[in-house]
Amino acid sequence: MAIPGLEQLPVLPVVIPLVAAPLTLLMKPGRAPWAWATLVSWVTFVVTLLLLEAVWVHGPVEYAMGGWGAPEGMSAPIGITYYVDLANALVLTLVAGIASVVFPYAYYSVESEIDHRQTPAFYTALLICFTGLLGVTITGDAFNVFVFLEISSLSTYALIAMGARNDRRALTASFNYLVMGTIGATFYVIGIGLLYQATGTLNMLDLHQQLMGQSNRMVEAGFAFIITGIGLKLAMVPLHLWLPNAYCYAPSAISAFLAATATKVQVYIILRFMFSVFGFEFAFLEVALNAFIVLGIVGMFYASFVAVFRDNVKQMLAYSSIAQIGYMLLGISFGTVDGVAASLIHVFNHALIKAALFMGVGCVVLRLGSSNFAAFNGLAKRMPWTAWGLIISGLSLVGVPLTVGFISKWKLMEAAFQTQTFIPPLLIVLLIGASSLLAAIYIGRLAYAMLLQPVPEDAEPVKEAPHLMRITMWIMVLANIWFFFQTDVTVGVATRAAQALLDTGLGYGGAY
Amino acid sequence: MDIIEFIVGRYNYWIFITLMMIGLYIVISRGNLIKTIVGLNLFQTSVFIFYISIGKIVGGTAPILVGSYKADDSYGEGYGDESHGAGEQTSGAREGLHDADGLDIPSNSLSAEVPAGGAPSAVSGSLHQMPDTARETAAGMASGVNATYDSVADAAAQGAEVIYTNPLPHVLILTAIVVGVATTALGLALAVRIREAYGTIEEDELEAEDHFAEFGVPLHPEQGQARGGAA
Amino acid sequence: MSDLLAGLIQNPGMLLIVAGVIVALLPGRQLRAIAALAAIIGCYALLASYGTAPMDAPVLMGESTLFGLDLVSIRIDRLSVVFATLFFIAAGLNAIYGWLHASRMEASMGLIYAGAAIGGVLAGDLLTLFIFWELAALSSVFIVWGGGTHAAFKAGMRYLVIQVGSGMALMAGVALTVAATGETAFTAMSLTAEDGSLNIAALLIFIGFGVKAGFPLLHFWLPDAYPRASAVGAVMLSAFTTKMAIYALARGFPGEDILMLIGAVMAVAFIFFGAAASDLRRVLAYSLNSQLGFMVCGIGIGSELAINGAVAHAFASVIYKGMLFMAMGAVLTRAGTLRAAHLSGLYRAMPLTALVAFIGALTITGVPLFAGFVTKSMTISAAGYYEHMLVWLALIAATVGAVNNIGVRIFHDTFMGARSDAAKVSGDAPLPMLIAMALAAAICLVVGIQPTLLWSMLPFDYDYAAYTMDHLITQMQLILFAVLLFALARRFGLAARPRDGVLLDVDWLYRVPGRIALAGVVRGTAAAWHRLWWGIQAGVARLVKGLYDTHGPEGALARSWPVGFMALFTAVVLGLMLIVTFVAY
Repeated sequence: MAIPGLEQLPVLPVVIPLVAAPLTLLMKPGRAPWAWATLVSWVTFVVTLLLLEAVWVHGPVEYAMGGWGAPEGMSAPIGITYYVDLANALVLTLVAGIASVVFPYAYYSVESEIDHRQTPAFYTALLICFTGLLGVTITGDAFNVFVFLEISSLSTYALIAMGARNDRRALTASFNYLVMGTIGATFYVIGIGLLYQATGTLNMLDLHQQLMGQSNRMVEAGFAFIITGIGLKLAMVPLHLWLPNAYCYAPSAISAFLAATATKVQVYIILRFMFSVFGFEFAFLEVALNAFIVLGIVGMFYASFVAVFRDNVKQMLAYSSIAQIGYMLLGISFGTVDGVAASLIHVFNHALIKAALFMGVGCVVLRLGSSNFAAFNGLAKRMPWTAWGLIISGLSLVGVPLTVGFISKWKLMEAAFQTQTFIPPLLIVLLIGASSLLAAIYIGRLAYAMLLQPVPEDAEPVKEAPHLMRITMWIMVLANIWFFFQTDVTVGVATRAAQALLDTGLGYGGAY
Repeated sequence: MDIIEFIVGRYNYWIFITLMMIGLYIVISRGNLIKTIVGLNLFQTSVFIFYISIGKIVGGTAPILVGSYKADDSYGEGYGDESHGAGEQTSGAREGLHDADGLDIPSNSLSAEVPAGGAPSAVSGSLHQMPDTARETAAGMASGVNATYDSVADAAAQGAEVIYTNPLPHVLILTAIVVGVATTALGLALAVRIREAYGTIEEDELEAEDHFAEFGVPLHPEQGQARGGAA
Repeated sequence: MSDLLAGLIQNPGMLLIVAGVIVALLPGRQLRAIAALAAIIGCYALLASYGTAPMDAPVLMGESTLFGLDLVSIRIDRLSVVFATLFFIAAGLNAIYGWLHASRMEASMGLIYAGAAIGGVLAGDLLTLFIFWELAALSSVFIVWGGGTHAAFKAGMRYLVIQVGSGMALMAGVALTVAATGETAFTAMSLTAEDGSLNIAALLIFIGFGVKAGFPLLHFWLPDAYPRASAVGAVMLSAFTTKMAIYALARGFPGEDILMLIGAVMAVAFIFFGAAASDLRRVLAYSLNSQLGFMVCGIGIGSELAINGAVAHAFASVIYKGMLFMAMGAVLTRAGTLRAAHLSGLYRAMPLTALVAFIGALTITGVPLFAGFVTKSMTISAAGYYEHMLVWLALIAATVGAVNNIGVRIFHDTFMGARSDAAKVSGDAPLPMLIAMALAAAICLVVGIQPTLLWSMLPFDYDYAAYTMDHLITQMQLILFAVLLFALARRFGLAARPRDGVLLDVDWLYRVPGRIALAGVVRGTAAAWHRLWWGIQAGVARLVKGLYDTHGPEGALARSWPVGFMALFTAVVLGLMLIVTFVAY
């Protein structure tokens, strides 16, 4: 720790929301829990920003939990360490940033969608989920990942189930997610167990050291279990079946928060395991990368086609998320600095895009009580701010210049051209292009409904969404534009982060 | 003969795999939500057994430290006094520190016993006595099974007078059990809520109702048509 | 950040886009129209303040970087300035034309669309070009949708896909260029690489341009979408997208041989499609596509005269095609239909519109004293001078075809003759529309009478005399021949066939067999293409149906599955993973 005065910084993003969560439960229903959660998210966001800055300036930061670092004469720490490099600092900042916008947004949406008496429980679960996501990202201990994964997942199941007040299908969606999520997490634990058996360590960096050159059945099976387990949580096609309903029937604020953060954190975990833990020495990595190309491309098209035909905007966006995960997998599969950077950039940008879109849909659900396409007819006349926010972030999803989506797509194409895989780069690029055409179709359909369809004649007049929701939504929308011009944060950080990840993967660095 | 040895020598894995498959099969085949949860539970339990069995050494004793254990001041100084209070000289006190991260501190306190290739540190000095035969047993047992056993056996053979079961997997799985309990509780709670909302917890009925809610047509005749049309 | 933004903001096109957003927020049509016009004039003043520069010494402005790539938001040279000026004129005319009839969205999107086109032609590098290329595609699709019908929605969707597809091809090409060279500069490139192989990057960019320029087989969005837009919208659409692509081709692929062939096919083939269309704006759309062939030919020839001719023709074409679309828009506004069969004798009710259509017909057929004559003869001369016989023939044929499609069908059949029921309308076009049409007509006349005004703006200094005896006679012969031809064909109830032409001029003796053959080939191609097209359409319909069956809400790939199935799937995936892992060694 080279930064004086900030020794405890790495632990704060986890500790603050974790300690704050049970307190929320004691509060009176209504404004207080919401205000408290918002405050916590802001403080956490500031902490993560400081952390990002510290890592950017000073390099990776390690924090041994409880002071249980590496004793003299030993290479690995004996306790849990938090290890923050640029890759997870970026994801941390992203998660906390999204939270600090979505939490304030949630107020009216939650008031209307959730039983008033349940609000303290809701914000408690939200904060726990937030803790879990941050914890998964920050920790450098493979088993600790599982713990935080389950912390976030369990609270997520509860949060999704709270959507049952609007639509009872939230319950079945949550139940399915619970079963699938548990199977995924259990696979992950088995994988970790196998790795532990083979190496005797759980620390990610130490695991990497121990695994170098090791390639036996146990390690391979561990790899398969871990990738399948995380792939399930990531909603990698064909393990995505739980996602559409879960996102669709969850309360709007939860959809926005999860769509922007949960799968992104899983992408990070995949990156961490593939490059930092297993690394290129691990011969099977190649096979997995090739599999990712195929799964990525299949996901891009399959999910986009489904999205085109969906009549519920939330479900359409959920399927679009699955398609976008395909882009991220594709970036990872290149196995190059550019590819991984493109993937990280897309993680960041897609979080902004999907947060804005789901927040917009949340405004519509609040006022019109439905997220079916029919509710969006003539929306530009009824709720112009919401409608235009949706259109701009939709354009960003398509990848139109002047929005962040363009940066992602450009970087991915650039990376594709600089990579040799078993599929010719040109074909990959054309497929990326073709898949964004599909995005153009479903976003076009939404834009047409909002702008050019007449307002239903028997429709009652509606007010715009409350200021708070509109402002927070537009913060996200403007972020979509701002980060097009301000590429230092995304492209700069992501490229350096990818560099660091791959250096570890190639065995150049990352040791103690 | 080799094959029989191969199978018998790894009987713990066979149990684990069988249990896991049974659990997964129940999840797959049973339409009743409660039964699904039972299957899920079984599935998780198999993993518990897996973890416990990988840490077990036949003849090893429970991993309990006796006597005082001096804190090593060479590490952790920079991190303030979060866990290094002046009075915390014993491991017992240490294990009482499960505040911020209660689920995992136990693993910290004992992971020193499984350094792969690293020399056992001060910890080994404070291990309690064990009959000599145990060492041989442990070395013999550890030979064919896996790397962890090797390292523990090494540690034991080099300096320690005692053989004990690797406690880390136990502690890990304690955490996993807690998670499993929480999952089961949540799953059952959801099943109760589903029962309240739908009046059933049979999956095919739920599916039919959801399908009807979404498309306004009953699931099965429609589905039959679609299948027929596609074929 | 500020670099890139500051660079873009210097671009008058970008400012116009910003103005378009502001216009969307203003209340009242009049106020919006005034604001739009003010914005157009203001932005033009900014462009004018940049002056102009010769082709070989462009002035670059607004340089910045975007993740390490150099961007140049403005390049001023004679090629970009003439197109930008043209687009400003078109935008101004559109604003006046839509004074009373443009919806809020058309007013605002029209301005954004014009701004994107202007920004695109001023862009100094490929990435900036792409930015505006996409913006043009997206803003124009709203104009198509502005037609308001379900047909407009579907056509708009197809238009969106093909336009974004063009953008994707361009983007892929640019990405490949950047990956290969690290350069983003937009300069002349070639489809063949230095070692004689195919230059993939250039090819992708070429396809991107080609889609917007309406290359044959890539053109179908054009006659599909334009007639579906509203009266005001179609006028906007006719001006920008295709001419932006012509600019891009002139900048990127001058003298690319394949363009001559493409241009010749375009010029001729679309005449026949136009003749068969029943919606009058579709006739115009095909005719526009055929006129694009002239420009593409000119670029393909690549000499200074030919490039000048292509640019000049683009200039004239925007004005007179806009004018014809305006006239048809006025008819649509008054009569409510544009089906050829329902309209005749409109001149009684709409004399001024009829006059405009007449002037438009004279211009497009290349009657001396009108803009079309001077600009067409330039390209035709360039083709002749360089001994490109096939091209020359195609251009001549296209001119003859224009007489039929525009002179006969758009003007004569619609405005002349007995008055049909649909033609009993309340009055002539509304005043703002008339003003816009009059201004356009005036430009046609001014350019026709005083071509040197236009010549001075063209990319190259080339002293071209339009009004030589040779040109006049050729052109007049051609027109008279064509008029007679179609008149006789009508009189005897025959399809337009060139056999009567033999009598007119000995000159035609040796051209007729070739022409008949050409016509036969083209007609055959048209029929084959139609069959192919319907085949494709049916195929696409089947594909979409199939996709819907599988991916639609009730499809197997999209439905909600019971949890057991999901778990089974997971187990299968795990099994596969394990097997692959183990087998991999």
